[in-house]
Amino acid sequence: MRSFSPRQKALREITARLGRENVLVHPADRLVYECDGYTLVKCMPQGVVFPRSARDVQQVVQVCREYRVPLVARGAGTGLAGGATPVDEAIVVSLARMNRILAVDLVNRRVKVEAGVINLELTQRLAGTGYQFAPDPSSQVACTLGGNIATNAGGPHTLKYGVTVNHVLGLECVTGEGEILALEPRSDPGDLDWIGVLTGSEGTLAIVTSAWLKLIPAYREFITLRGTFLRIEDACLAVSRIIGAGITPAAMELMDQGILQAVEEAFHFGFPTNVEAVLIVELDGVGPAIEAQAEQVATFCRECGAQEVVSASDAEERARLWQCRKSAVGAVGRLSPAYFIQDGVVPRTKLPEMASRVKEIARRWNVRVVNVAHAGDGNIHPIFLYDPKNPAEVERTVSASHEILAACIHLGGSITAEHGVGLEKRDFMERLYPPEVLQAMRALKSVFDPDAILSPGKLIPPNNREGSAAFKGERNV
Amino acid sequence: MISLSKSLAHDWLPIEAVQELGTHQEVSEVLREASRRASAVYTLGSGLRARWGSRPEKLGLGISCASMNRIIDYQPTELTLTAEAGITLAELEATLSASRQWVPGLSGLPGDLQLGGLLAAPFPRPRDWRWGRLAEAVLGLEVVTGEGTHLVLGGAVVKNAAGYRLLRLFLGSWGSLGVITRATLLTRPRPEGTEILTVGMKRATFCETFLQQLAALPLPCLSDVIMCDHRCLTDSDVDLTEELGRRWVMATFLLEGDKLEVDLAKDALGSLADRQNWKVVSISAVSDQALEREVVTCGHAVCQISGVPEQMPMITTHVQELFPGARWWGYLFSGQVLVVDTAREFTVEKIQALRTKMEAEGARVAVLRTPEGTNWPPSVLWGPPHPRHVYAQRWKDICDPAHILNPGRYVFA
Repeated sequence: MRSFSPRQKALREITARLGRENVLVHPADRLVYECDGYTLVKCMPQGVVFPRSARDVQQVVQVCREYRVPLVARGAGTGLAGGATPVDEAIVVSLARMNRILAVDLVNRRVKVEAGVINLELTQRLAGTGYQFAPDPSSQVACTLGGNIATNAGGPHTLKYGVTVNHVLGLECVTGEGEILALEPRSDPGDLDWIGVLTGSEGTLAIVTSAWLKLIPAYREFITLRGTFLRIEDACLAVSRIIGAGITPAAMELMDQGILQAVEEAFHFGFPTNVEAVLIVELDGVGPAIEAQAEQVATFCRECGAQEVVSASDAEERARLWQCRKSAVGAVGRLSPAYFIQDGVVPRTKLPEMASRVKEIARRWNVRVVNVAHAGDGNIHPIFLYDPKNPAEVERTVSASHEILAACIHLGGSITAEHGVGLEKRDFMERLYPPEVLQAMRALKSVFDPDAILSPGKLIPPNNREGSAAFKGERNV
Repeated sequence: MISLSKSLAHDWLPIEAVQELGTHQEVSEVLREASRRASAVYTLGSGLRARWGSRPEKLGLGISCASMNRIIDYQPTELTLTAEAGITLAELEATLSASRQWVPGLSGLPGDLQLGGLLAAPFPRPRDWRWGRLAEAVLGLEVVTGEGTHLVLGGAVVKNAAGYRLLRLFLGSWGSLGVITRATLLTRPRPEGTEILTVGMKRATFCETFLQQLAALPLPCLSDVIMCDHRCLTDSDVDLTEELGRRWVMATFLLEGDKLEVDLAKDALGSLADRQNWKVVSISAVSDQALEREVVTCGHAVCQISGVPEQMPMITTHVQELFPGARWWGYLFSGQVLVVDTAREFTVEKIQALRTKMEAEGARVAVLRTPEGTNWPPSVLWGPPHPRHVYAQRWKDICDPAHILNPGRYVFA
């Protein structure tokens, strides 16, 4: 008689409850789920399940808990830190089929969405209402709102409007104990701020199934400036000057020479490729008011060494500019067979120093790096280009990226601003936080997920590394 | 040890003595020792809100962080300020004003309140909806847990996705999980223009059309609309009751932003008011500031009701029915209503009746301060335990295993 492993037993039971049409078991079908946007670590999942409701998710968690089988929640798989990588042959819980916008409630300035709704779909649904959901990650054409909540995603326009946690009013999620936890969209002084801590917990405390999100009035007038700089450090300096003058642009984005070349090749926008950096500054508000601000911004850029400052001539040019910026990372594929994007943050006045360090580190490790940055937030995204068939280059690339993260910590910043810790940065948490803080995080994990079945091995370095699921999984690669 | 100050002498907290603590190390030592002995510790801020929360019974030590009152770092260009818990809001305001910056959640409050106390036990403010609750402005936090562990949480950068945002669990926990010793706040440029407009309207208008009309007029610079009855309106320059009449409800629009934008928004609201035959009066200050001071400093009982904007008519109707003599006002977009028991109408039965009505509609009721001379159990203040309180209780057991911190004042058993 054939014996089944706990994972197989769990999957059989889940299949019986959710139906065959909602479970993938064939290796060819599972292959695409072996990693997210962080491709340096890949692990084949035991299976992939597609719940249609919170009750389905609850059943999956309860079965996995019964068999002590790890599971990993997944949105669109656009995460960049390995948060959705199914280490230790975990079962992947894809929220992709929970993709309904359940309510658009302008009177109460909120929407209710299922976790699998794509960020851009919500933006499109709100078009013409005068309201917006502010977080707009660069991957918004594909990323899901559940994933945005799990990673506390940001994007270019969070400089003025904040990151995802600032826009979540209510949550429904399933804890690691298989309980459905409903956090209503109203504050309760007699309860702790669970929304504040569950948002950004990367699916390690609970799986988000739906959410009430905040809508804010949207401006209709914009001025989008592009400043070109011979030195990237000068562009960074301009960022501090603008903020220091009391101006809060809607977005302040930086692209360096390498990324400009890739974008030009892909989109032919007309970016100069003979300068070290372009700074995009978008102001939103009321016409004459932002015109005055735009003049100030242009002056600051010139004083910091900008060769040229030009404004997008019309809405179409502005839209193309943002398309270029948001597609910039994808365009890097033209430069290299593989790449990965790093996410670090420093106090914005340290950006010039950080820019110099990135250049120096890349040179010293002999690796190719191009840069985009949400410069207004001090949030850098060095993109490392490498050949996956060249192990020595892979090793140098990883080492260089780690050195950049260490530099972020050294300059008073953090190892991630918006991508999350996932698998990639887990071990850096020990450099960022003292043991007592990590211990407190482990304790919180035990509050919601006492059997550690939700994305084990992610986010917090385990106490006992040899026995950890993550390390077993990593050997799986 | 210092003697118990008069401001705390409400015969409320069962405190034997008050100890002034000057460093987080001292806080750790005191809490470690108290945890070892399982003796109660009560955190005291300015003392203005000593009587907030449930009335505790266990005799214990009061600790004050008033001497931890330094601004550690202020970087206007970074939009960050780090200060110790004992700093007063007046000092913070003075520092920020010099750079034309502010923390919206701190603006307009009594200057003698201390930062740590406000972070531990916040209450609804008029700018919560647009600018975010005060907790959202906290980038970093230092706390000492009940067992004496000093935790440095978050950081000083405006975006940080590294690990669990533990600081959010300490903010608003009424000092029952840890003692806040230091915080890093996100500051913002102060808006150059502010306009405050008040309109009076009939109850039917408020209930039937007001919200729909507002929804159709999305104004980014409208921070919130403060709803109140005519008795709450105050202005030094205008007799508002004379101007607006004794309408059932008043709506005060708080516009903040670029001067031009605010002017345009004012015009748009003026046009709406003309079409609706509302009378509009421009006033010089947010009318609820005086009441907020009253909430903090007076002895009246205070109740908070949390709902959503469309529940505001329902909430205020029930409040008027049950407490006709009370003053109430609310922040429309954030769905919060504060009721001050100026006519001493609060009773356990009436609060329970209000809660029953509110919870049937999905709104929540909490009593922030009970009437003087009463000793209401926590279930009356906070409502019956919610199933999710099991998570709060577990977290409490982790942070304060001996249950020494402010025992009985908050929701924990």
